[in-house]
Amino acid sequence: MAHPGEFEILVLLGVLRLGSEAYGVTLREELEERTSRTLTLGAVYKTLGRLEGKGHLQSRTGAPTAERGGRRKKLYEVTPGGRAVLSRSLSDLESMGRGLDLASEET
Amino acid sequence: MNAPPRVPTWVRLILGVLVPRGQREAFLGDMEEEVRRRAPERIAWTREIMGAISLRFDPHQAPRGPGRKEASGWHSIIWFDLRMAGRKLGKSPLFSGASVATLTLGIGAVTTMFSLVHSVLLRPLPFPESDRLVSIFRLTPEFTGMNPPISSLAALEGVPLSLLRDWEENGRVLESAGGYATRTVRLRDGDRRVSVGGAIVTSGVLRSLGVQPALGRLFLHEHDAIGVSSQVIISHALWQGRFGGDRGVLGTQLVLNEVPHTVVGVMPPEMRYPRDRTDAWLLMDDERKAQLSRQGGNLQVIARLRPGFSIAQAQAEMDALARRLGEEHPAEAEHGVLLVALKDLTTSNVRGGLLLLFGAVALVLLIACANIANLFLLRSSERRRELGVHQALGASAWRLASQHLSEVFLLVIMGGVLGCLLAVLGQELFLNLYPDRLPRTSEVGLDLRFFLIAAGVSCLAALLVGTLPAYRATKVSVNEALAEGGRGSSGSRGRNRLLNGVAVAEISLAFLLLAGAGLFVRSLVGLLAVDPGFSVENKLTMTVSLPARYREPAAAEALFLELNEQLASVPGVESVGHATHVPLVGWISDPPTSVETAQGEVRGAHMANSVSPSYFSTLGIPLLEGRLFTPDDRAGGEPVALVNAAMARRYWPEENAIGRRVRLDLPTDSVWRTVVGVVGDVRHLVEVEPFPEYYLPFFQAPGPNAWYQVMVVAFDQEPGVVAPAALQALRDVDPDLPTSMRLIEEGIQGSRMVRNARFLILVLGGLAGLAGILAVLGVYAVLAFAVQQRSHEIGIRLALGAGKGRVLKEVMGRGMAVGSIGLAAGVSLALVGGRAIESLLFGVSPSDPKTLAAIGLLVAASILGASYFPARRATSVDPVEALKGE
Repeated sequence: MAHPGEFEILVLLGVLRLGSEAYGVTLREELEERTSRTLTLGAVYKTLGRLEGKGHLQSRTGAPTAERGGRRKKLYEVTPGGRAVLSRSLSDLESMGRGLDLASEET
Repeated sequence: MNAPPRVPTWVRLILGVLVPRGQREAFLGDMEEEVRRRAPERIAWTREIMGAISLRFDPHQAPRGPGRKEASGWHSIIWFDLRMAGRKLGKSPLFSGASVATLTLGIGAVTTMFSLVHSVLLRPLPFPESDRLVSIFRLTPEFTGMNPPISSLAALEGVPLSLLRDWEENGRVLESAGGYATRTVRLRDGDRRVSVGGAIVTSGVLRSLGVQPALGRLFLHEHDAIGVSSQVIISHALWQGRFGGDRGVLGTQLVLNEVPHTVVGVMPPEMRYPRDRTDAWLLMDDERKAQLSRQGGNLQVIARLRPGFSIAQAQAEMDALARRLGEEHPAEAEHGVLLVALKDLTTSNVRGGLLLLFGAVALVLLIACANIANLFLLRSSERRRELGVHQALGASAWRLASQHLSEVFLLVIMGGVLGCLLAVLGQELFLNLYPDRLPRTSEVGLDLRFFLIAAGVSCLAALLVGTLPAYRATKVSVNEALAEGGRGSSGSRGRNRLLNGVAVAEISLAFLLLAGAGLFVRSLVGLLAVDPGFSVENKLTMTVSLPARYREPAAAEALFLELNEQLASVPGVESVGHATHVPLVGWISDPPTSVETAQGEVRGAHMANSVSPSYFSTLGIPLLEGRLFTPDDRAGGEPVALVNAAMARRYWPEENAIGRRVRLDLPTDSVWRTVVGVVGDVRHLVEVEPFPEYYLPFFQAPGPNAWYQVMVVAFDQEPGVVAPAALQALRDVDPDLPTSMRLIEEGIQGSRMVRNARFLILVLGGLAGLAGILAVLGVYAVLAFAVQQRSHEIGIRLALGAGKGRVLKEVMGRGMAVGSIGLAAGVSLALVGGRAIESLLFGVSPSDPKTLAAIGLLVAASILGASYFPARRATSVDPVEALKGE
């Protein structure tokens, strides 16, 4: 099974954090605030699409609202498979980083 | 309450196309939400669009939902092809980028020029049934019976009011006719005087045009009689600007040239005749009516033909009328008449230049398309195997062609959209760069027609680019393509021939453009090297229009003596003179003149220049025979004149001009004057040979234009120091004297032909350079491809001991062969097509061998350079690598 890339991990975490309110706008906001990078909506959607393709995410359609010009949201949640992949990736990261002092120059 | 911010429409449209269907609704909804959360100006739309592009072309997206079907109907095939094409183009960004950039330039330039040509040359004038509108000229005796070009200054004369009356009354083909003169008029605005563009007209002008006033009425026929009070019709702009669009403006008084005029009408906003900025249409005053009735009047005439008459029929009728009038008025007998369609007249000055540039951009687009077609052909060679596999798996020729066309289509769409934007800027740029005011520019604009033109040009480009590669794609043979290597086969020979043909075409077209640019450079050099017959450096001119209080000869004489003295005392001034017509900065007129010759009295029309005694020394015009004017040549003395060498040659070719007599045939001045000297010729217009001209002593005979003189000041210091001091000296004599200053050198730089040449060199040179670069790239691509194709063979030969020099020579020889054929074709094209630009050139023939040879060498050298690199690569083929394929 393919391992998720860094940005994919961030998006999966973002979807988990947002719970039932995970969609394009909120995800982008969450990611931009917490990782201090600038993202385009297209980049977020690209990753969402990929993760959905891999089965890590699933989507459902929300209700249309006036402030979206009458368009419906596409809300995402992490599938059990996605959770498994994510927790494995995180523990891989943790175990690889354990004991390293990244703050000082000599590692 | 403010409406909530929304995503701009153009962004929504682009995103709607880009974002895949499954995510489109959510994506656009998110965008709307974003706009409401942040301020819309804080969103970088271009970045967002780039993001959407990367989403669109991401190959790892989730398959769409269950609603999606595999490509089946024709539209889904096209859609599939387009997506494939997008991906392929995305994979070779250099190729796609270069192609889109080239197409953008080509489509943008052609759209710019075509929309200008359309607005300026092709569209009917904005008057009802404008094809019936003509201008009528009186021909000078020399040109009577001929059909001179309307740009020929020497041939066309203004029309006296009396003759216009005769035409109006007797012209059976004319529904109406009118005469006008354009003048700057001074409008009193409180204490200030404002200059506005004016047209002094007879009532027939506006009637002939068929304009309806926005407010009030037009002038009536009976207003043309002497003794009618002063009236004015104002422009829409003046009405809005000065009267705030007040409908009560009718009947109010406007003071124009110190005379109160009653406002009787307001023109509609689109009325821009005779000039683009005309703000006031005035009836002639009585003095002018009387003046213009005489010989040598100077009205422009516009007329409306009766329905059903062609210009040629009307011309024949007017010729007959001219003969009848000649019998009644012998003075008119020598003059012919010329009718010109009004549209041709307004655009005659720019027609040649615009069409030339349109031709040039069309050639650039052709070359650009040829280049992209070439690149496609090269790519299709690289992809022969892929195409062969497709075919082997059952893809029809049509499907293969369709895949190709999809790529072309995508490129052209992008090029077209960007080209359209470029053309919007291009129009602005062109109008700003254009040396004169381009006529009818107020009608140039962005409208539906503009976008239709852009779309049409893009379609043409797509056809040009797409046809050849698509055709080739259908010709791929499965066996050949799948055979290892596939080089040396008949298919690749055919393709090579095609590539060579495209390169030859590119070289010939590029040569054509470069030669054109070269000819205009020669032309400009020639213009600037013209000897005007006097020294132009450090000469300042000040035009003086005499107010009515100086019209008495004694008052005028006193004024000019004072002016001469004051200006001469300005520090840095060497010499001062004055004249009616100062070369290169003045204007041309040729009043009726009688000349005494060996064959008796001859009548003609020649420039009569009324000058001060010191005029010749001030300008440095040489005396060839006899004497110059002296301060003693004044009223009461013996009537004298000077002639220039051209006039002496014309009337007294084998004899001495001195002692012969000339006469100005005006009611105010018709005495015989004895010629006392012959002076050198000067050019009044840079591009026109000196014509016969004679001089009158100003203090004896102020001539036909006594109200107007030009002071000439020769100086030996910085113009920036002398000019203000000279102006001050003039103001010291009379602070209210209207004047304008100019350096004579500016007259050369400012002459229409010089400015046109500069402009054409700039634009045509840019286009030609672009064409040259594209052609060189084309040659390079062809050779590089050939070397790559033959690397196997070259490898064997090198392995067998062939010299590297030999290989180098062979490849370069091939480049030069393509180059020579292209050059030969280019020279033939230049020889045939050169005649089209003949009238725009000065002092150089369109087939000038030196220019063509120099450009030919330049092109040949560039091709040699372009051939060298592929040739070098050929010699560095590694025999071992090349043979590995076996």
